[in-house]
Amino acid sequence: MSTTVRQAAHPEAGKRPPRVMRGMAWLVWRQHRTAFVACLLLAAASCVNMLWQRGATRDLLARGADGTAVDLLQLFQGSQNSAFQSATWTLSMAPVVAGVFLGAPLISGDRERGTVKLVTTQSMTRGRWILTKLGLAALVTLVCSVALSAVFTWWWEPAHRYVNSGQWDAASVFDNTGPMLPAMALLHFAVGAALGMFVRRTVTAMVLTFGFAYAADILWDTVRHRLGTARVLTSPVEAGPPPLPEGAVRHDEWTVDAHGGLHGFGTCFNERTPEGCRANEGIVAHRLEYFGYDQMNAMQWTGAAILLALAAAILTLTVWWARRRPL
Amino acid sequence: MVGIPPDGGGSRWAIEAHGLGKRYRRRWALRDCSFRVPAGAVCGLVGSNGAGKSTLLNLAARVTRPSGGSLRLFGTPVAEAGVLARCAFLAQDKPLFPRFTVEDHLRLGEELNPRWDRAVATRIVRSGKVPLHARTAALSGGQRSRVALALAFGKRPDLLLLDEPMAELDPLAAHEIAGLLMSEAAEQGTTVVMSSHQLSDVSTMCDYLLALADGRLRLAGEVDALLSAHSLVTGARLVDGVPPELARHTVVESRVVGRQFTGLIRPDGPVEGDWRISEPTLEEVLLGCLRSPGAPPLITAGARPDGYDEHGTPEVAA
Repeated sequence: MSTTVRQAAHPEAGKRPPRVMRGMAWLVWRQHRTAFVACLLLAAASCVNMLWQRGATRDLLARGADGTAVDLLQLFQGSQNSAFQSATWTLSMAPVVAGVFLGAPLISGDRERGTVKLVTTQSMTRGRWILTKLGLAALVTLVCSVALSAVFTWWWEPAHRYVNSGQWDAASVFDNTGPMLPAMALLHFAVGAALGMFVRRTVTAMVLTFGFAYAADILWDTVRHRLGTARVLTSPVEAGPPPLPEGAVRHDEWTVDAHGGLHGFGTCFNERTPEGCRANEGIVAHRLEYFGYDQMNAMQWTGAAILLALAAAILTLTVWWARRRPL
Repeated sequence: MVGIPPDGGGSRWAIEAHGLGKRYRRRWALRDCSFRVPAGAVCGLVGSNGAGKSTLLNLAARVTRPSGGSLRLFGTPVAEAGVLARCAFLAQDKPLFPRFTVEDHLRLGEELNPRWDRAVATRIVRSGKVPLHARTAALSGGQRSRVALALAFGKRPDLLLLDEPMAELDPLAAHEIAGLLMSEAAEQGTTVVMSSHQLSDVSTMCDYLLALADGRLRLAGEVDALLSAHSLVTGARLVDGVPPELARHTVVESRVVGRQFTGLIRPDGPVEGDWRISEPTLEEVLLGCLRSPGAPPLITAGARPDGYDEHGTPEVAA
C-alpha cells in the first residue's frame, strides 16, 4: 500500500519532470517531502521486518501443533517475545511520530517563517491551502499506520494466545492491532496540526504535542476496559475460582455472598480456616469478570470510532480557524 | 501618469476604502480610512513605525480581515476570492521557502496562479544573474528581493502591494530593485502601492501618496495636487504665535527661528501681507503633516470616495 503511493507521488525525478502532482498538492509535497518520504520508508522497513519475523513465528507454531514442543508458551516466550516487544514498541511510536513530526510542524513552520503569507496571497484561497495540507499529511499518516497495523495484526493473530501471555487488553497489543493504530495516529496528527496552528513556534508545538501523547497514553489506559461489557462466570465456592475461557482476558474477580453482595477476591484467603471465615461472611460463590477474545474486535472498533470522531472534530476546527482567522 | 485602466474591466479605482478600520485586541491599528487610488498609479504609503502601513497592506492582500468599513479592489469587495488573482503582495520580510531552489519558487508561482507568465518571471530572475539551482537560504538580500519580485510580477497582477520593498537592502541593491520595480510596473501597467520609510524614494518613484499617522489617514492624493495645496511662507516675526493674516488659512505647522517666522499652510484664497511664498518639497509637506497631529487631514478631490469631504469624513446629506 505504501509503495504504490510513494511511486505515484514522486515528481522530483529530473529537471523537467512530468507533472504528476499539480497545484497546491505539488507545493505541499515539495515542502514536506523529506518528512513524508521518511515516514513512508520507515513504515515500509518496519513492515518488511515484521513479515520476516512472521515466518519464524509460523515455524514455531507449526512445531507446537505437531506435538514436538513440550510447552509452547514457554518456548514462545523464550524465542519470540523480544521480537514482539520491539515491534510493539516501534508501533506505539507511530502515533507519536505522526503527531510530533508530521502534525506539529505542518502549519507552525509556515507561520514561523512567514511563508503562509507567500502561499495564501497567490491565486488560491486559504481554505484550499489548509485542506490540501491537512489532507495530504493525513493521507501519509493513514497509509503508514494502516500498513503497519495490517502487517502486525497478520503476524500477531495466529499467536494471540502467546503474545504478551495472551493479554490482548494491554496497550501493546490492543492499541497496535486492527483499526486502533490508524485511529490513534490520526488523532495524534490532528492534535499536532491544531497545536501548530495555535502556537506559532514549531518547537513549542512539537513539545506540546509530545506532552499530549504522554497524557493521552495515561488517559486511554483508563478508557480501554470500558469499551466493552465484561462477561461474568460464577461457580460455587467449593469448586474454586472458575477457569478463564480460552483466549479471554481477566477483568475482575470477586467473591459473592448469598444476597448477591460482592466481596474482595482475597476475602478469607489468608485466614487459618478459610471455610469458617467464608461461613461467617456468608460467601457462597466465586465470580469472574472477563472479556472474551471474540469481543476484542468490537471493542477496538468502538475505541477507534471515538478516536476518529475526536480527530475529525479537531481537524474541522483547525480548518475553520485557518479560514477565518489571520495567520 | 495616472490612468492606464487595466484590462478585465471593473472599476477605474484600484483601491477604494470606506471607513476602513482594523482593531487588534484593544488597539485600533487603522481607523476610519476613506480614500481611493486610481488604477495605474504608483502610490507611496508613508508614516512612522506603527502608523498602520503594514496593516493597510495586509488588509488589501487578504492576510487580515478588516474590523470595520469596506475595502474594494477594482470594484470587487476584498473578501471575495476573485481578487486574489488580481493582486500580488510582497510582505515586509520577503518570506521564501529556505530549502526551495529559485526554480522551485518559480514553479510554485506557476502551480498556484492561472495567469502565470513564466517569461516575465524568468527574465526578472535572469537579469539579476540569480543562480536558478541555488537554495533560497544561500541568496543575498538583493537576490531574495529579486526572486520575490519575480514571483509577484509573474502573477501578472493588476495591483502590486509592497511592504517596504527596499528596506534592509544595501544602496546598490535598493537602486537596482527600485529600477526593476518601476520598469516592470510601467511595462505591465500595474498599479503599485508601496510603503516606505525613505521619503526620497517616495518622491522620485511615486505619483500618488497616502500618509498615515496613528492609524489615521493624514494625506491622500496625487503628489502634484498635494504639493500645490500647500505653501511655505516665511517672513519677519511681528507677533507671538501665528500671525492673524495667516490664521484664516489652515496652518499645518509653524516655527520661529530668531526673528523669522516659517509656516506650512494650506492657503484658502490669496495670502495677504508681506510674506515670501514658495512651493514646499514633498518631504517638507510630509514631515510637516506627520509632525502635526492637530492639523486636519487632507484628502484631495481625486482621492476622495463619493460622499466624503476633504478631511475624509462622510458628508451629511443636506
